[in-house]
Amino acid sequence: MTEQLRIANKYAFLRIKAKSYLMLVAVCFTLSACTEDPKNENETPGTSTPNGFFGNMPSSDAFSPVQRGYAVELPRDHKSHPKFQLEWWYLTFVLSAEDGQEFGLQYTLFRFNTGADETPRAKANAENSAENGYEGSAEDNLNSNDTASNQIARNWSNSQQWMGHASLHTAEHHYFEERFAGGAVGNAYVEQKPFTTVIDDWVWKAVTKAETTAPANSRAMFPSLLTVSFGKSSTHEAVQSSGKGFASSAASLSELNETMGSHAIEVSLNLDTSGPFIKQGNNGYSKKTEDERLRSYYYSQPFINAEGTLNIEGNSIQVKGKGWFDHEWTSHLANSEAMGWDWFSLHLDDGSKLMAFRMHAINKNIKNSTNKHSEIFTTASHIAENGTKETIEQANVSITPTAYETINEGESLRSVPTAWRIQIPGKDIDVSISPFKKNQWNNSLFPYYEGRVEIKGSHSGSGFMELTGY
Amino acid sequence: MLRTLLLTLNSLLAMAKFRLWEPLLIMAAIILANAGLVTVLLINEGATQGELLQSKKGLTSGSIIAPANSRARFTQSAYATLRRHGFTQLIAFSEREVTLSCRGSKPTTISLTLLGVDTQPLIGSAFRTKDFEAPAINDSAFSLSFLSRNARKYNEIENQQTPARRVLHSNSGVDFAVNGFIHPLTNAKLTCHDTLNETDNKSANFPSWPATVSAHVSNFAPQNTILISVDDFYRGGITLNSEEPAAPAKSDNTRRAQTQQKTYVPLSGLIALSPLSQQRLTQIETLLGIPVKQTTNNTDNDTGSLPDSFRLNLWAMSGLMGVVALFIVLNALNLMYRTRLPNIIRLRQLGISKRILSGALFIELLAYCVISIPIGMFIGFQAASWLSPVINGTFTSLFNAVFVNPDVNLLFTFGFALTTTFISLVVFSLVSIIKLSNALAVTPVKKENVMGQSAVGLISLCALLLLFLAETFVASTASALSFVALLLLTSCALVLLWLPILSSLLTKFVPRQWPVFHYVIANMHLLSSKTRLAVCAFFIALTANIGMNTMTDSFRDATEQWLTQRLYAPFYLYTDAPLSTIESLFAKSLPPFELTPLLKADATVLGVNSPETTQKVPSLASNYVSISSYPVHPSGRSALVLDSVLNNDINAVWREFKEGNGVFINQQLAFALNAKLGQVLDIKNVRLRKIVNSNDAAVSTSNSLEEITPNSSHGSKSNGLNSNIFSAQPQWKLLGIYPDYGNLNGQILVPLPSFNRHHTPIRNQLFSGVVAIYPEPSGETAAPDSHRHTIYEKDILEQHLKNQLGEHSEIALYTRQALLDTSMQTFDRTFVLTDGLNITTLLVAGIAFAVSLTVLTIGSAAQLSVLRALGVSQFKVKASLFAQYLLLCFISALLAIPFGVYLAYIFIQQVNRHAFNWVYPLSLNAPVILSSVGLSLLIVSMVLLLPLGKLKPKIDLRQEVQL
Repeated sequence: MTEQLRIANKYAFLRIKAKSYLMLVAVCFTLSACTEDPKNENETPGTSTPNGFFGNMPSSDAFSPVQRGYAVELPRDHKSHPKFQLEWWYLTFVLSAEDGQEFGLQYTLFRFNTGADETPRAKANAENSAENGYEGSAEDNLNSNDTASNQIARNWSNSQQWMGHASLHTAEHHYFEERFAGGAVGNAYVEQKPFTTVIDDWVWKAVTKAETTAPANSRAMFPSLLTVSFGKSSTHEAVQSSGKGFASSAASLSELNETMGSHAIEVSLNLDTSGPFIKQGNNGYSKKTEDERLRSYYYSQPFINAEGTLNIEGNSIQVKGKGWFDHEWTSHLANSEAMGWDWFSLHLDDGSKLMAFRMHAINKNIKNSTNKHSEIFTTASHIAENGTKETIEQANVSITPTAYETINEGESLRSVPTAWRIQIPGKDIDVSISPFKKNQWNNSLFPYYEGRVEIKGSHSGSGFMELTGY
Repeated sequence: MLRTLLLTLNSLLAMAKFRLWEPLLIMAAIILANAGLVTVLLINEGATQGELLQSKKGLTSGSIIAPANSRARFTQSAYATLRRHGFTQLIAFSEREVTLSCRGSKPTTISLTLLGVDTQPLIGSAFRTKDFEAPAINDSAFSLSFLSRNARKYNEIENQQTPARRVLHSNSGVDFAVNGFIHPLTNAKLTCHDTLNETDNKSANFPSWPATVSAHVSNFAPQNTILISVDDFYRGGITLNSEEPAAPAKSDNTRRAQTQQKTYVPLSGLIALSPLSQQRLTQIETLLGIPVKQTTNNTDNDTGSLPDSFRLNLWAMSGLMGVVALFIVLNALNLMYRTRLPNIIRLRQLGISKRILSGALFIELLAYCVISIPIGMFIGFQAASWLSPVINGTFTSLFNAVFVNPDVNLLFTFGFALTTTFISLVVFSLVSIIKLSNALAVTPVKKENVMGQSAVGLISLCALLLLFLAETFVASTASALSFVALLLLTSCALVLLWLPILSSLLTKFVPRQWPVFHYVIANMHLLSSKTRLAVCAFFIALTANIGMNTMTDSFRDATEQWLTQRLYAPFYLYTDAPLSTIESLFAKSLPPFELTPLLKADATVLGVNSPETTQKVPSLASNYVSISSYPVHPSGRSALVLDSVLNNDINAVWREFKEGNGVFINQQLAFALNAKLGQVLDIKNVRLRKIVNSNDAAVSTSNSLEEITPNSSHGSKSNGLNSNIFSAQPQWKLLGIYPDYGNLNGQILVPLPSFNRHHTPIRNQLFSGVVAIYPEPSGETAAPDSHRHTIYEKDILEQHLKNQLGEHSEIALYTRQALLDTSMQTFDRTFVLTDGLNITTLLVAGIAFAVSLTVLTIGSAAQLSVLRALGVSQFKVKASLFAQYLLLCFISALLAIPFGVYLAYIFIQQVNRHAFNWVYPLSLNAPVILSSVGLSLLIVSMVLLLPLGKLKPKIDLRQEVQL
């Protein structure tokens, strides 16, 4: 009993520790801004809030803007673009084992520019918005010195903030882990030669095969090797309980301790491609609203063939499947106008690929308080088997939710549209999208839906769906 | 309807005004009860909060990985390498000293550790387990905006006294904002401190770290630190690398940075939230190419069940107080309604319904509550804040625990107090009303059911037997306290049974020549049945009083005797200097003295083994124990106090101890393990101690830790250290059990020679900072005049030591007597609380008596007027009444003595045993008991004089309503 108490105490300590550390994240104003999001959703579960998925990071002149004339060039643009506010390298896989087990795997590396180095204004704004709704004279004192504060040398990290997500869906379980790292510390970066993304021990690194002609210092992204180990053992999920009894606390502590050293999931995938990179939109310039005020640079690699092993809680499974890579960078998507989006990456059975995208944005020019989704912008890219891409304009594509799922993860009930119908008459596409399984929710700092989907209708196949802002 | 109610209420209040002291009495009781309640509530809250604070000792209490070589340092890239290789549970941290001062006034600087921790990994989901995910998000952990809002909210609701955040400015016009955390206790230490300075004042104008720290009060930061992000830590002139960092991203800033002074602060180490295995450590060494060491600090100051038992004790006391207060209220209500009865009857005759009447009565009661509860609460708050330094002293000195000035929700407390008080008042008023209504009804006179003396005797015998039987079932603090309650109730019942018998016996002995006195005694016999409540209150108060006083007194005796014997040397030196320094110093320059250092180590006891049966007695948990050295020279022997020794042969036992064939353990450990003499302890994980809880020592620890040589530092979890700590491994056979008052943890005494004698760093690590200094054995013969001698020499010795050591280390030299005095003073201060409660309970009991006297005199007014008519003077009537009550008190006091002693025995043998794991001999001290009795009688007689003075043994027949 005493031991239990001791553990419970220690656990409570850890909990406070973790909690308070989370508070300390204020270092990164990006993140602090985002917390408004879950809180507001508390009040109105199931609906989007006026704050965007990435919270309310203000757009600022300090960050490089996305410009129409710029042409994305590869492999040059595989690199990190630190002057842009937001960037991600996004891998999703639809995998299957020989025995017929199906998996959905996601690995994403996000980069944020917290603006602390760039301009005083950006930071001051960020801080002000973080402090939104809280009037305090002490704050004012603090902020008044911001101009100066940015000229003080930073000797530990720079203004870059890295965030990694890894998620695996098996038929029964969901394993997810989220990691953070400061820039310039050395444990998170994207390198060009050879192409490497790193956050702690999650590494995606280009490899040179003997038969490939690429020189060793190639900037090529593929072929490459993805090694990620993450997640807590699912057996411990049974421990989850609403009560805070000693037993469950102690169990959680041991859970925490265990996951510190070893992970439930070890992924090792060899990636290669069978088609070209696809520059989305106009040569990589991708508009997210009709008036292009929300926009990004965006290219994809939908023709990834993945092969390797998944080690799930000690069981090594040989898997094979298709992957989809997205690289997107922007300074225009992190503000409160971008409330969220629905994104689909679909591998159709005829060998073609489909990217479908639906943006919810607030248009400040439209004063319509009753409808929070005041503007919805739809776009799609159809990529033929041979790699020719066609951008489908808003008028020619319809993406409509057909069923909602109530997701009770984290702190609130959310109603999330997880079944969809996508129609592109010009391409004879009329498919219904249904989730691979229920509850594919990534309960991360910015919580969102990310999961494998199955396709039925005019075409069949599988793919991934991302739903943010719910 | 409402008007009737108002009118009724008015008339009731008018009656209250006419006999003001009755409502006043009720209010006094309410005030008293609430003051007690609030005090206890606050003190408990403080203990709880202190306990909470302590259970979370901050980050650095985990295990810490640092380079084994004190000169080697981890670099940022080494940290990144480790993280990239999967050591994601490691978190880099860095620390340096800063001083805080008040703007304007110089001398109040406080030095704190600025602790920079890599906060980034901690945001990750691995640190959010399922169980705390939801609350973490609800409480909203991520953001500063949220934090500050919450902090403010928290501040408003719970924390009226201290600001939940403190802003510290650096002495610079140009600075940057930093968010941090500060421990509440540390925050409490700071007063006007708002300026942050570097420890060296050279760079006052161009501080290398020009930050404005906004430190939020959070009990998660370690004490005496300001916890910030490592990112903020390394800003300005604080650099991680000794040479100028040439990171391209900072090129704009380097120009500016050059104007600032550069301060090179290396990483202090890596925090591992859970200790790493040896295999993982080896992996780290391979990765980094340098040997590393892990320092595990799992001695996290186990306050044990102390705050629990403390709380329990307090609740018991407040419960007692509450009961006594209710006695008063009951009495006062009785009295009030009795005196109002004629008027109430008139009101009824006027046609006011029962409902309205009772409604008005309740409203009146509510009004009393509303008036007196805030007063009571105020007194409670005052008492708590007055007591908190005392309790704080107790906590730190006796139990090594923390007590914080509590923060309590005022509104909640008020609501709670109001509801409880009002409900109990309503219940009690109903009791009185029903009693009176019964009195109004005509009932035929019943033959009084008197129990025979033999029946009473039989019942008493059975009750006592049951009580003794129940005592054997006591197994925990809670059950011990329940037993105390049972004891009090049983004894109370017994007294009620015996009081009439004793008084009627007394009647027989009083000669009839003194008619008034005879009447007094005879009437007392009648009285005894009518004053039950008051007698009960008085009896309980007195029994508790005697019990507490006897316990305290026994404890004091035991402690004093124990201390006197244990402190054998004339001087004790407390220092943070390394032992080797002191030893060489004494060897060189102070020849006439001999030193006995106190060495300490930590260990874990898994259980005890009996030598015959190898069966292991399972202990509840692996117990943390401290191992202390004990000198084997003759004065050590004479200083050793043992409760019990093996085979009762002290000489043999001492010989074995001297030869390292066994150890002594303290009572606490013996109780915890249920160990018997001759058994063998199963000791694991003997390790060097990490000094906890002493502010001064904390600094010295971190320095001296680095001096551990590499061979001792590998894997402190393994048994590898055993061989280093002991030169000869002692046998863990139990030779004796010694008392160790004031210690909550188990302790083992090991002969001093068993400890490592040759390895200086280890010895320095083992050294607890206390050295006994005494003259060379030859001086012992000259013992008689040594006292004068020591007083004389103390100053010289101290001066000498200061000269030699003073520059680098703190020293404090105490004479034996000074140490003894300090200890006893601390002890006495600790029990101030008890005295206060004693007097309060007695006072309450006295009031109960006074009230019941008034009620009775109203009833017996007719008889008294007969006495007056018979020619007995008014003074005589009053004196006889006074004598009557005093006699009643005296008899109950006599009965209270044995029960009080029994209670003291229970306190020592059961409550103390279970709450603190120590017992001590019960010492019966007649003056203590007599003074308790005397004091209580004095208080009662003082209180009785009040109503007696007002008593008019005449009746106005016009006012008399025949009841």
